[in-house]
Amino acid sequence: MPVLTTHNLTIGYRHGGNAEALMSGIDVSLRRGRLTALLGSNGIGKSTLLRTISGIQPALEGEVRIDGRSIDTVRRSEMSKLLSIVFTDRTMAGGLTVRELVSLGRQPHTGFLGRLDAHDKEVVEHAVADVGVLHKIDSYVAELSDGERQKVMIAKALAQETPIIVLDEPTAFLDVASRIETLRLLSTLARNSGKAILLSTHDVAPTLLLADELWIIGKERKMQCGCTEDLVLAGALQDMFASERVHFSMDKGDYEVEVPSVSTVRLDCADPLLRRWIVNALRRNAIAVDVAAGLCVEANSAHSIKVGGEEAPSVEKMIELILDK
Amino acid sequence: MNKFTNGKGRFVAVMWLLLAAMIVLAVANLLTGAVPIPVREVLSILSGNESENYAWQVIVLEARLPMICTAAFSGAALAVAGLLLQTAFNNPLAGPSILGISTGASLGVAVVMLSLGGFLSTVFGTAAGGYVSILTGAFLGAAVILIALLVFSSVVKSTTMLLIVGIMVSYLASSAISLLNFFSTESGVHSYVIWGLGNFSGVSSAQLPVFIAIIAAALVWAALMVKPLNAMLLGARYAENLGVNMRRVRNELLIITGVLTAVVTAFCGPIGFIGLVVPHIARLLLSTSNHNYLLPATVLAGADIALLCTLISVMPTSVGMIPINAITPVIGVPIIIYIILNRKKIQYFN
Repeated sequence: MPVLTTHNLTIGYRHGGNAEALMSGIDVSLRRGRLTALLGSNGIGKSTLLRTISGIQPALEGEVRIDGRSIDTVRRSEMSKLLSIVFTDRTMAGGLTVRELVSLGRQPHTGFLGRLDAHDKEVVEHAVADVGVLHKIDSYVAELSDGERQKVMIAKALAQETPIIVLDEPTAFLDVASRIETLRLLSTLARNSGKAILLSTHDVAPTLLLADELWIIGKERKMQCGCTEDLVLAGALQDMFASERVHFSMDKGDYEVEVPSVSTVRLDCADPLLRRWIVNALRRNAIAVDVAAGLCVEANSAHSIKVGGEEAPSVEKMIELILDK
Repeated sequence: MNKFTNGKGRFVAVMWLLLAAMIVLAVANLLTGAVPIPVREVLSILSGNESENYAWQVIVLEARLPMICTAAFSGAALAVAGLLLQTAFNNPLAGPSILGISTGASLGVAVVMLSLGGFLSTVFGTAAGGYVSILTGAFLGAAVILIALLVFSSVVKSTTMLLIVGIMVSYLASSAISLLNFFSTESGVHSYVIWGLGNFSGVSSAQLPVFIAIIAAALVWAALMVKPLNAMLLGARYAENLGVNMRRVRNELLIITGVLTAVVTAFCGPIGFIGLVVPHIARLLLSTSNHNYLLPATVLAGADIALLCTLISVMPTSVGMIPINAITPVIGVPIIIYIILNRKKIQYFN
């Protein structure tokens, strides 16, 4: 039973009387306990879709339902207990401690003056512990790294105790390690807490490893959704970018650039890892591997590569030798 | 962690410090002035005894005491107005004078004062009618600017752009004031210029209760806004997602700021810098952006700064009192420059 569904949804902007639709006929759903990733090229409408689903921007047509109720009929105070957001908006929160910022997530549950009771305080500490920054709970937000700040915003969303969390590019601006860590954290949270978590991202490779479901916006602005592997196998990712030069490699689970090859070599290498990286170097230099090629490259280790009988002590030297011939 | 480095312990320490400073400054103001009055006499007059020198009694009870109350409440009012605007506009350089609210109130006052000509300067402080019309003029002037800001805020989404709109609107109001001055009588211009220099001694002991009541009511209203103010530190979208009705809250904040600025401007003239600077002083002292702590500290720090300016203004000189607006920039500008130069090191900017 999905917690959130959209019905013939059209998203876009209204300028005075004119409506500018970005995408229409969107019928997707979010399920509890699943990490769902929204993929699509820049400017295609990912953020607009997330804002529309979160009730921040009105839909042009159709509707979003949470637990079967149209969000147009849900009051703001109720909405704040159903869906929490983590967006990339610039905040002025540097002068708050982690504890104070995460406590803001309790606002939908506290009274007029916002006083926290013992239970609220416990929820806050729990949320901070869940994202792994408990050791910094009394530090200023200004003193945190970008990755830690993102975790704190996720903790704010957790403290809000909503069944749905929507994140707009939570891994943007993060280094590689923090990106993967953040995605892993969200995947664990979805699984352990039974929340429906939806995020948009450009990090295809780690997303394919960790997301349970995908929403893919194709280059024709058509939405496909379903289990990650089903969509990958159905070729949905091939369709995402308009570029001819970039294509999705089913084997690697990521996008690669197509470099037309100008020459070929025969590669003789038993070690699969060594072979993989030698092929990588060859491809980059527009050299294809062909069993029928005249020039033979024989690799025994990274320091012992023979190019047509000539010894190369490194991959760098190997490339030089091939290009000379 | 030392309990005074941040959080509640530091808040309590800072509040005691500000309170102590307020008492010291208030006492210093009671004892300072063009007419030297012995300390023992001042204390005796304050404790309700009749002084042998009737003039001293009048000076202490009818001049110095009302001026201290006016300064303290004006300072608190302008400082809180600045804090609310800085949070509402998400911009640390917002303030009632920068956004043009003070200028709007001034325009209202100018219309009233200059249309009545020099008449007002002669009844300043005695005729209640003069004050009511000046107060109304200030309210209307501030309201016009606030409504303009509200209308623009529904079109202009960027708070920085809105700030610039405020500055532009304030230039328009200033040009209207110049025109009014140009066509006004000499004595009208004179009384307007004197008023424009800023002065905490314009509220008589009869008007004081009204002055205090309006400001106190607006300050209480501001205190009830602490929860949405904290949510707004995350920006409008996050606040909305936390259940804050941004449209309503922003309107309420502008009304509170409008009332606070209009009352002070009507009675004391357009006082610059206090609204801009004091919230920063409070943030630096507490080292927090949390309005639970920031708002009370801003109230006290605002009172302190205004009392300090008053004390400097009443220092005995050969030419009488120094205008308040000649003093506030001397205190305000170095602080703003310090903040701008050190913004990378100050938490609340990052």
